[in-house]
Amino acid sequence: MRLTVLTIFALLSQWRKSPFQLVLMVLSLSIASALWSGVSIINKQARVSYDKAGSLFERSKVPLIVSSEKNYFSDSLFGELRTAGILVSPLISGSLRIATRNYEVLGVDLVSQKSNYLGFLSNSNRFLEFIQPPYKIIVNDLTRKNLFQHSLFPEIEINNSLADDTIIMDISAAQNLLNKKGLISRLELYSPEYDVNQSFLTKNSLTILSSDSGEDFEKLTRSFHLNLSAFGFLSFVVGIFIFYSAINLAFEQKRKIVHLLSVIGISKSIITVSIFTELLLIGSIGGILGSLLGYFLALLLLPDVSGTLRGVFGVPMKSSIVLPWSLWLINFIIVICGVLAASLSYQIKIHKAALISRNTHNVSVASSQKSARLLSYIGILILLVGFIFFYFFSQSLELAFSFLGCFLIGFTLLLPMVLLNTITFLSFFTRSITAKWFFSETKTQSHLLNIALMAIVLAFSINIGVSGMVNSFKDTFTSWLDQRLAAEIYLRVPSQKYSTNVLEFSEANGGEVLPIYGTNLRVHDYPSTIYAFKPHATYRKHWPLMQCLKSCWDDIEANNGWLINEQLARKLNVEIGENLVINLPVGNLEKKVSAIYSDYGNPKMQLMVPIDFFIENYPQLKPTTYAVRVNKKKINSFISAAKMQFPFDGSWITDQNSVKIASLEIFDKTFSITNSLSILTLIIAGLAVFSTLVTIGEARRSQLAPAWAMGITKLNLACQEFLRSLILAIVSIMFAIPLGVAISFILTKYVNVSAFGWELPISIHLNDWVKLSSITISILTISILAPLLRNNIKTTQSFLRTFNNE
Amino acid sequence: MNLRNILTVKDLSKRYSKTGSEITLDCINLNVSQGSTIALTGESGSGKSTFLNIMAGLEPPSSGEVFFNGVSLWKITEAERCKFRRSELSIIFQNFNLINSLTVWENISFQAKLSGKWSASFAEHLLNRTGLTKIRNSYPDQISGGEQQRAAILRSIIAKPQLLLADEPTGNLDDQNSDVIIDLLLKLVSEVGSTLIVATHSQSFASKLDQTFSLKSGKLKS
Repeated sequence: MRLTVLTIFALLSQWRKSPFQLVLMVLSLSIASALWSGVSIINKQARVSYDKAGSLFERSKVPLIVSSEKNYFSDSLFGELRTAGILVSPLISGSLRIATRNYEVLGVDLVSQKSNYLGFLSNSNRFLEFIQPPYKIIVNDLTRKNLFQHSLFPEIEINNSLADDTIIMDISAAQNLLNKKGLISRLELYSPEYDVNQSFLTKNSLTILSSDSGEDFEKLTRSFHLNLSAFGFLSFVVGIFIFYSAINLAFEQKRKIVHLLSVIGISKSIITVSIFTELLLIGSIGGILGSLLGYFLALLLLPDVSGTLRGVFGVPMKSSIVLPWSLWLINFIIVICGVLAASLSYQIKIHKAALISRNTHNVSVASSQKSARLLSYIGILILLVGFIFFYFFSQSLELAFSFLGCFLIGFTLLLPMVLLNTITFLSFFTRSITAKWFFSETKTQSHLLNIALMAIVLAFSINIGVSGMVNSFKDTFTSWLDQRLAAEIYLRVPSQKYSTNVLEFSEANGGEVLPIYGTNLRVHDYPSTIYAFKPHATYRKHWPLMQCLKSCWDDIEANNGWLINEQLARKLNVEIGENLVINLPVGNLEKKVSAIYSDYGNPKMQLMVPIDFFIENYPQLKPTTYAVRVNKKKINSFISAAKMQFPFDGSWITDQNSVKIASLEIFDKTFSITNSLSILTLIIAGLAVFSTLVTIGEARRSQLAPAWAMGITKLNLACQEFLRSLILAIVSIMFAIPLGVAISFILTKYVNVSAFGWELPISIHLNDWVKLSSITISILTISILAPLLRNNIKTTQSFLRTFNNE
Repeated sequence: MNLRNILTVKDLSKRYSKTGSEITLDCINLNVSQGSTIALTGESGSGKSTFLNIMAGLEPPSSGEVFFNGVSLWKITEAERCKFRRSELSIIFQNFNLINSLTVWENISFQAKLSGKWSASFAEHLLNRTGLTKIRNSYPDQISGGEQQRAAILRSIIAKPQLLLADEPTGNLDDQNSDVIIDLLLKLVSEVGSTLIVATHSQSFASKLDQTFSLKSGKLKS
């Protein structure tokens, strides 16, 4: 034990000589850990946010029956529906002000069958306390603290999955508290939607709001988290690359002391245990610092994530972060595992006593070629595994990402071989000894920089891939919006009772009205929506059809063919011309699929039928949203006149442009987190280059010193070193571009299809490549120059040291 | 025969440590005639390498001057000193300092090509004489220490320098290899007519040279 402690002290004492390297090592580890923990925190926070939202009003997992005219309706309707055998559960919600705070009160009926809210009670057998005076309420811890000073609620149960300032209580108590006796806000529908008598709904001005399709919502959020986790993991891997570089230096510096310890009789096992302890210590410091940095990184990125969540899923996200201990612990364990993985090769070397035999930085061209060949074989093997994943794809998102991961890593491992062959090719055209030396040194340098260059390839190709996918998506989305939003004005009438007036007004003002409405149904047991459309030239001219039969519009308008969206076609695996049976209220109908349209941004399956046919099936439904075609010059006057005529909320009428701008804003927000992370990954890759160049600086100087002694100036040598690194970086970037395009292809053709159900056409954005390349080269130029400038200060002394010792 | 001075060292001092209190070389004066061979001896840390480095234009003195063919080495620019090292000087190091990424043949041609004095036939001739022909295409890490030092000597000689500085050229070699290297070095130096200054611990090596100076407490004594 005493020997081990002494050995640890001897190893630790080495850092006194090179504090900069220690800082670099801890810093690189902190950054790796920060990225991973930051993304984990964001993931956790996002899940908490929409789980809370999903459990309350914003995202009901079951369809709701609500009044189409008022916020509240009589609770007697609940009794009527239950008597008719429909499974419904009543709810009332409203705002309550207590002292200076507003609370959202949700009154639920736990007695009704299958209530969604029974799970909020810690013990469902104790629900009697909930439904009997003094009426126990359920709130989260923060709300309890706020309510504590008021004696309004004597019995409180804590459930921290609830949102802040939300109170769940029995419906009758809530009705009294909100002063809405005999009224309810909505009914949760647990029976199939088609069991509800439509005439009952129409008579009582009720309408069914479909669930937000929990399955689709989960699918979307799952892909969002997978995307975030993939980026976080990539950043962590890049960070570990930096750490690997730093650890390289650490062990090179320890080579002599390890040798000395062996000579004085310290066993290999004691040295191994001591180095392990030292690494654990460094890993712990790096892990703790990284977790703190990750927390601040999460705070920094939270607005972007919040934008994405609001944009895509409509879920509000809190700006403060709550971190459970389990997350800290998991991050910490991951960091330690990363440290051990990065140091594995050295542990093996120590065990085999190979570390003490030679300086591993003084690599020969032959060993560079050997290791490049080995990496290529591993790369090809990983690519093969990836293609096996691809073969068993079966629309699984996880497998799609696994394929992407294998493709990315496998291809990246081919880089050293590509670099060596490129340099050999370039040197083929050189005659002078200095040029020959330049290229042979570049080969050596490429071997030393391999890890950092691979980090660049990973980061850059992902940037190209993601930006390619996003830009392709944006192009498609923009032209799709142009087609889809062909009408000049869109109206949403707050209540059906105003519909007639609004229609009369529109027609009197030169508008041609196209009603937009629909309802939910199940197609082959998949939750879908059916929409009505008024046959009109607008649809023939603009609707974004992906595939259609020759006479598709004639068939569709004559109700002889289905018009379905891409998601439905993919889910049912049907193509145009094939027959499809759909169960509608009038019975099972079999028609050929006449056309398939693109429907980006919508996770649901959808079909469109002519308005007359829709009314045959759903006579009780009335439209409240309309597209209005008017002369472009009259748009502003039409909107002004409509706003004057109808004193509704300002957002009820909007022009095509505003809808497009809002849609594109949502689109941009959706990808803002991805953009932030991808640029961050590039910076980290730049840091990997910086760290490696610092690490190999001493070894490089021993190679350059003889040339200096033979009369090549230090400036010339520094320029050559800079050029070497830059050439390697540029070749790596060029290598990464096709990889990026392939990633873009996999993302659009497979990952998107698995995640969202739609496929995007790919477009190439050269200006984007130029922009990304410029950013990357700028980052790399700084990363290459900084160590050169730092080393230049002490070049003469270190050159002389090369001659005098070793 | 009255040979002209090729190198003159005048009042040369070198101090280390931050305060400049530790004196390594103290007011040294030396005149070196063209074609002569000189041994610098002294204990480890006596400043032999530092003295060679200053004469090679690698390390600046704290005070004093070094004249090569009448030109003060430490009053010209770094670029001019590099030119001087390229064309007039060669250095042999204790740890050989071959360039790892170049083959033996490329290594021995490197300096001669830099200085524009490359002669392939002369190089082939020397390669044959030194027995390095078989390993001409090997890399430095693939050959023995003795072979590496022979290659380093060839690299220096092929450039036909006026001044050849050698810092413990046999320090990393066994006795047998040392003798071979010493003989080879002296023969080649005499053939090309270079001036040789060798820092060495070996008395037998020193005894084979024209003059011997020893460094002690920063002073140079003959």
